[in-house]
Amino acid sequence: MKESTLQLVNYLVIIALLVTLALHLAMQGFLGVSGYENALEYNTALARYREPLSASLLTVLLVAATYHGLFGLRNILLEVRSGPRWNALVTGCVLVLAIAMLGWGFRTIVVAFGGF
Amino acid sequence: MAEGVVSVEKTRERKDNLVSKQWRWALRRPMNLEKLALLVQRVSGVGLLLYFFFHIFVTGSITSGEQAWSGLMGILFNPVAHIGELLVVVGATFHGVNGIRVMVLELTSLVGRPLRPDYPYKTQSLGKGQQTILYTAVIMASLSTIAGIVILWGLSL
Amino acid sequence: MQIQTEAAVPKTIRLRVYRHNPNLPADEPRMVTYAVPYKKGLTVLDALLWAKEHIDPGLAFRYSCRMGICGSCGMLVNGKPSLGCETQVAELGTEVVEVAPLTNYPVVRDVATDFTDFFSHHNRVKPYLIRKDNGDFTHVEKELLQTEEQMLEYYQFAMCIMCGLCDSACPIVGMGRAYLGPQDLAQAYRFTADTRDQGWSDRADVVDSPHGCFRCELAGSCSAVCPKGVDPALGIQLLKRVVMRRRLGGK
Repeated sequence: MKESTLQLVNYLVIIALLVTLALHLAMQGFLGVSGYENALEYNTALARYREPLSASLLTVLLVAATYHGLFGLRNILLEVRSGPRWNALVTGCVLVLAIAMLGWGFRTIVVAFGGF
Repeated sequence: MAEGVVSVEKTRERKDNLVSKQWRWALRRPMNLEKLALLVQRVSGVGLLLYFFFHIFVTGSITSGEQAWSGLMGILFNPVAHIGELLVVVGATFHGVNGIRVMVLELTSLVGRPLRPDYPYKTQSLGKGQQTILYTAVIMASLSTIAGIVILWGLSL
Repeated sequence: MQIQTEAAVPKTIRLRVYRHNPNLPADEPRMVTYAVPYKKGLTVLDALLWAKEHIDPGLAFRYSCRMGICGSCGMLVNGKPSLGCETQVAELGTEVVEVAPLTNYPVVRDVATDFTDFFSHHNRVKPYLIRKDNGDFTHVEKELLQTEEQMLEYYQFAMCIMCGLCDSACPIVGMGRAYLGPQDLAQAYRFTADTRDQGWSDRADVVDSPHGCFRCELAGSCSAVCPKGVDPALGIQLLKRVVMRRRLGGK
């Protein structure tokens, strides 16, 4: 994939991330909760996954943060060395991390949303 | 020693690993504000990614029932962890606002437009406009420190 | 810019120069301090030439025009990439003037560095006008016309003297020479923005690559040290916009 395509996707992801992260932090602090301690209580936290709107927010946040974070890590690692082998190694490691993070994150959201 | 030579000193050995290289470019001249902003952006970015990685796995315990969740929260609800969470919030605020500055510079004409380079040269890309956004990022990070302290420690204003 | 008064600058300055000959196995890198007499208007290059002429003929450094147009005398002066011929000792405001070879380049000897990588990177962006009907022996019917506005779109980037200070200051180049560098990318923009050029397809893959223009992170150090007002950071951001616009199908 061309670098410019990855960068354009990154720009879209950044917008999504700014919105969802701001909302997520607000919801943990004061939006719909009576303080941080309340936000960490089991039922309050579980409710976040059970409500469709906030579950969607968490999903978008998960994807956006994973893409943006790993894209940044990839860029930093690419500076260290040149060559197709190094590029392939970095891309491979980043994809493995992405699968792990997205996989576990989705699992949590789907299982919590569906009830267990 | 020849006449005119004042002294001869050996130079220091330079370490060439990944961390030393990053430090060196950060602390070398020219020491412009934008380079410092890049350093903080990188440090906060890597820090946030590390936090996010563990955050996904910690919050995964919601599906293991109330006892597991509450047990974990009990361990993590302490002043040291709060300081860590505060750093996350402050780091995210700076990273976000500085990131907006980078996006604006890459996508709009705030970065400048080509000019005839007449002496004294005007370096448009290091202009006051984008420095203002950088100062805003610092101010917002400071405000989020205060907000973070109030919320994390449950203080009432 | 701090210019000291005549009374404030000492009569003799201490010129501290990095000395090393990598070709001699026993030669160790060292800083040698010379006492150089000060006179009004002394530049760092003048000081080096005086030291070479009167104290140590073995001192090696590059220079040519001594007026800031050839780009040969790039060196670290008190840690900052500068042109030796354009740096007034009086402006530095320090008793000791420290001269070292540019960072991010291999040292050939003392203050002279190897620019092979620099030039080969520059070549990769094809820094010349490319026409579709171009060939070395293509018969040219008439000159290629351009308005003044069209010329000003790229003119400042054409002022580059290839001194290499920007690549020396760039933190991304400092991490590894994989990155093309501000000089090359600014030159890629210079030709992209030139209405006479038709070579975008030749340059696109070079600049739109994992080590191309998107690895620039806006440290701005390149523009902070450029002695000719080229502002390579501006060139790179403009190049990014062109690349993305053309990726989305625009012009």
